[in-house]
Amino acid sequence: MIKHIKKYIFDLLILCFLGLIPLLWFRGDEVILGHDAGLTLEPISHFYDRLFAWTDRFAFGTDQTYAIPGFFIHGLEALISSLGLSLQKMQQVIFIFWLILPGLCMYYFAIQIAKKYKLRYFALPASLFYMLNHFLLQGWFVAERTKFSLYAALPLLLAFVFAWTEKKRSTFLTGFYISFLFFLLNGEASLPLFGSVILTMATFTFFYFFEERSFSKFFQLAKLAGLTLVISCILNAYWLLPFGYYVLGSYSKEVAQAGGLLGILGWVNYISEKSSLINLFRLQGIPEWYQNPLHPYANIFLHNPFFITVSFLIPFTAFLSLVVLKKHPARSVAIFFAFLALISMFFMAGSHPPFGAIYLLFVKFIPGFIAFRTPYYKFASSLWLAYAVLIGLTVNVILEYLKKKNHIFFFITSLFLIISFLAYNYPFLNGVFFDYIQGQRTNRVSVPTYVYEFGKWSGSQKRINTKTLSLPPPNNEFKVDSYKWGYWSLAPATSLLTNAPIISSSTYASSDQGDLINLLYKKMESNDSQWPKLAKFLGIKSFLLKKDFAWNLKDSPTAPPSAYEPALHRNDLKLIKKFGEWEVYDFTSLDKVTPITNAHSMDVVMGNVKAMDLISSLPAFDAKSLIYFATDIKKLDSSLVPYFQRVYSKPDCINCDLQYSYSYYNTSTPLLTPKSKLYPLIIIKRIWDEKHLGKEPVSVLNYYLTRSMQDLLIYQKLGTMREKGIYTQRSLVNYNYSLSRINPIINKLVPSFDNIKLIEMNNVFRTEKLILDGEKNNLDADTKQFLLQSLSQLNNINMTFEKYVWQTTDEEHKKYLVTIPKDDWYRISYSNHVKNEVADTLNFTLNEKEYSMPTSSSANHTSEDTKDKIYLKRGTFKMQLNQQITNLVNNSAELNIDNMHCYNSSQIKLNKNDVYRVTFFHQANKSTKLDVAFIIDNKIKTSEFEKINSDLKWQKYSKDYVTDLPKKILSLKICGNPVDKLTTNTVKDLELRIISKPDVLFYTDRSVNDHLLPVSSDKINQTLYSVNTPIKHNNKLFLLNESFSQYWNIENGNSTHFIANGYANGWLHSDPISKPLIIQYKIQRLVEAGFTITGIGVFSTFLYIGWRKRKKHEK
Amino acid sequence: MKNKTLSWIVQNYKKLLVLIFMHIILSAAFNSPYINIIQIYISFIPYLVDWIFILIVFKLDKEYIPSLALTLFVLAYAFQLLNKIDIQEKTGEIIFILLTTYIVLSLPKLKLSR
Repeated sequence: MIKHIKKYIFDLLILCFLGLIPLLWFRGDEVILGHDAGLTLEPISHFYDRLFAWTDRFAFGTDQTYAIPGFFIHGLEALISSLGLSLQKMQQVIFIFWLILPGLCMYYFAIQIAKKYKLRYFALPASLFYMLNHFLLQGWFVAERTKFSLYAALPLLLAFVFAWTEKKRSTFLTGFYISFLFFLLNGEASLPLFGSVILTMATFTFFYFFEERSFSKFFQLAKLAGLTLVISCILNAYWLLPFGYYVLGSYSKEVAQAGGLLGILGWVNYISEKSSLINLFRLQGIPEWYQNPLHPYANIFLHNPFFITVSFLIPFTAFLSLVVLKKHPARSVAIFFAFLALISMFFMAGSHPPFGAIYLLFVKFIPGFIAFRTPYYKFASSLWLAYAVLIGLTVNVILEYLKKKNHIFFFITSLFLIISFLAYNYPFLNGVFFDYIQGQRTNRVSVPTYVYEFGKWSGSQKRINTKTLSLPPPNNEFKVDSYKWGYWSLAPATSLLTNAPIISSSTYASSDQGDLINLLYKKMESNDSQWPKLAKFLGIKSFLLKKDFAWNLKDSPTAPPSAYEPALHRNDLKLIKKFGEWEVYDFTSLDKVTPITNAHSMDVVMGNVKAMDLISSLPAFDAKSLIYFATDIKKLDSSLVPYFQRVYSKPDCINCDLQYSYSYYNTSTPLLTPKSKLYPLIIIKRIWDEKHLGKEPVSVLNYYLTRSMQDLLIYQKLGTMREKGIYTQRSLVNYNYSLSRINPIINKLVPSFDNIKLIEMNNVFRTEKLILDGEKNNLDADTKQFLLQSLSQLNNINMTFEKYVWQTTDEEHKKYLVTIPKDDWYRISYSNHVKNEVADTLNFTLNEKEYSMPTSSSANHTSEDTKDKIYLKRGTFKMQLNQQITNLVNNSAELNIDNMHCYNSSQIKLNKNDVYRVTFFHQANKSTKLDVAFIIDNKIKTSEFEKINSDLKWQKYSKDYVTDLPKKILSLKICGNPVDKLTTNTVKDLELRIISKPDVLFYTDRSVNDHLLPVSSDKINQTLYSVNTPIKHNNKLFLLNESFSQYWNIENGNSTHFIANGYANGWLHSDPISKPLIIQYKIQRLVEAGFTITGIGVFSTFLYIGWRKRKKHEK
Repeated sequence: MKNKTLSWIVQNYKKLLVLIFMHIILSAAFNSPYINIIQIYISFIPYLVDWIFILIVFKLDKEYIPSLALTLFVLAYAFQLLNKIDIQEKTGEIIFILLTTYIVLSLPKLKLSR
């Protein structure tokens, strides 16, 4: 053994020496933290937390089954930390390990090849190239250990299978070695990261069978694959069991989160923009290099002539091996790896031509291939592996030749190669790659001491279960957690610091949780007197005000910390601890918060969690309520209905902002038009479809709706092709035919449709009308006749719909559908943020009956008198609320605008998501253009002006403006055409209005003495609670204040599980409770079972191998 | 050298004419309605057919292919310096096809396990 090491000691020393490079990356007390790094500030407690399938670190708790395969990656960090090293030292050790590991693994593989083909100078160059390169560099900026682990495993995998084909190792041992390799280096079980492993094994299998196709070879390979699979399943049971169980139910959710198939295809195109084959040959095309103009080093590699030259020398050197090894026995190796390089490039190129369309077909049609939506990064490892081998082969030939010919040349060339190699990888030497937006953002940060102090304190036994709200909130769109001391990431810094539940509206919060948390933030920012009730309702006891929060970043601004100070300076709150810039406030008056509470009854809300805005503002709102949210009266769980006490119904204002949706009814433009020679095929298909359509009216309607839309899209397509005559007429004839079929069905079916369906179909017909009108002016007289027929039929259909559909169609009459789940007396609450209006009396109609009622702000809530209330029976009511329109600009006089003078309106404070509508009448003394524009934050470009035609006739102009970006000021500018000197434009009746969306709430205010009471329980760990018996209050409704998940379960007895308070776990436990109730996160049991199987598997496999070796030795 | 090239052209002019004719026909065919759907997915298909034709009819010595690919790398480098990125991209595609051809032609004699 020592003799072997001595032989390679020089090479190993060089590898290890270069492996110490990470020592150059840290300046002062900096550590690597932020972005996607996933490096934590407390490795030991973080590792302990990741042994559980549920964590309290994010929002109200979240599943982290995905994190369990990170056992070894995080375990290693925890192990080194446990030696007493500082965080920086621990990171240095870890980084050295991950930098050297690929080099050593490659060296092991390269030595096997070198020994076989007697290549003296092959192993070291190949290993160095594999260890230090730009692919790894791009991963190093976030210390992507998952990627490094599989990257390191790849050459070892090949070493094992090559040795197996050469019969140097038995099938069982090879299977065990491969399984054990991926047991330790598992890429945190991220399937996409296995892209290169799959490609490499596919290439190996191809070559394996190309040499000789026989049953015995197939059997051998099947045996190896089967053994590897079985051993891998046993060794990886600790994560396979829980992860497999979780993933089985979440594939479609993952796809939806990635933006659906269309979103994924768009992403593939974005990533593949620069991955042309020539860039891939040069080992470039890394998406980040081109997308980030402030990339720390990419611009030098893209534009500096020296680096450009080297980038061409790389593929030249690699493929030179095919020429220089023509008669060498290692030629087979060169061909294998050249093939691997080319196949890797094919996949890495993603959707880039010339093979891009094929890749997109894979994404669309191969199940699971969607996982490889970032093709460049997922298939790159095998390209770098192939290049390392090919370059190693060429360098070996060159150096062997020079060694024979001239020692000086050999020395000079070796030195040149080393210097060029280090120069080409210079970012490794100074750690500049961590500064991922040069001069602005870096992952090298100096963490203030007070942050660590807070972490320790919040992780203490006393605080570990205290739900704390983090202030200020992250930016609502980008959810970035960023601090003045440099940390920037989507992962809240507190989640890397402590296992305590520090809540913020981060990406880890579900949509409903995000809405509730944001509502609390909003109420705290405005210091709404009711905010403490909402906080208590969410189980939040404490508040962390971070004064070092980078709240004013250009791309992710949020409210400053000072905005929350007035809310925190209340009598019932106390500053209990100060850690530098971080302050912790606790409620003084709060009872002991227990994770489990119970109640005898609950309140029901017809609406979503956003209704809590109005509900929590009601004077009678009880923070200890148990609330059940329902949106559909028909889907109410009948077992829960008897427990409903108070009722809240928050109807949505239907289409109040007057922003109509358009729908193509999931139809895309057909490829074949009546102009096509193949169009008869479509006709034949339609005849066949009609024959087999059946008589079920809804299917018939769906069929003809799709067909009508297809015909109209053909009509539109022909219009863009400037077709006017017979073909356009034919498409309209077909369309009219479909409408004639739709019309009688609509008359029959429409009364039975619910309002959502009616609106959806109305949107389809509105779209069709738009398409018909769009081509109106391009048609000849004959075709126009057909168009008139279409429009007439469409008008008839629309008239039928107007009778039944319930939606707002103007600014004055707001329409709602009120769902009442229970007969009772109801009060009404009203708010309109546009006018900051709190009306005393509200006039409205319910099912056309007129009412006038005092609102929550003026009603006498103590009175049981029914005069301020309305008695409503269970059911759905059509409500109409009449609103007055307010003009935001005061211009009653006519305005005269010429080429020298513009009209500028007063400035209006802009609210996000509000719709602003401008309307006016205009005319001019001759035909001209009028420039109109909305000016946002006092900035306008000439190109943003809309040019409208104006002439002697009075014309009405109307335009809406809406933004979801945080803009501040809006104003209106109208200018005459600068070229028309003698023209005067007249503008009158100018109005700028916000199209309001008033909130209305119906509620019963009966006094209910019942509210949530604490239950004596033990939190055994974050996945297991035990409710102690006897339970003091014999209530059947239980609340666990953790995010709802179907996997939370009461182990003993029958119970109905439901979403309580909009985010938490609620149970109706109807069985008598005689023994302690166990509440468990089910997946954790699989984790425990998995770890047991893994443990036994590792132990018995080693035992078996030991026994075999002994037996072999005895023989 | 010049005479050698000339004599090669004289010897093979019929094949060359067939190749040129075939390329024109194929390009037209793949641009015609309905068949152009194939070209949407595999844009290089006429060239691929040309290349297969060349390999079969002219019986190229495969050992020249890697050298040709390496020469094209030098050419691609020149295009990079001249900022002719589009041409450089096409050169990369040709290199890819050349190297793939070489590997495919080399496979029958390949013995990885020995």
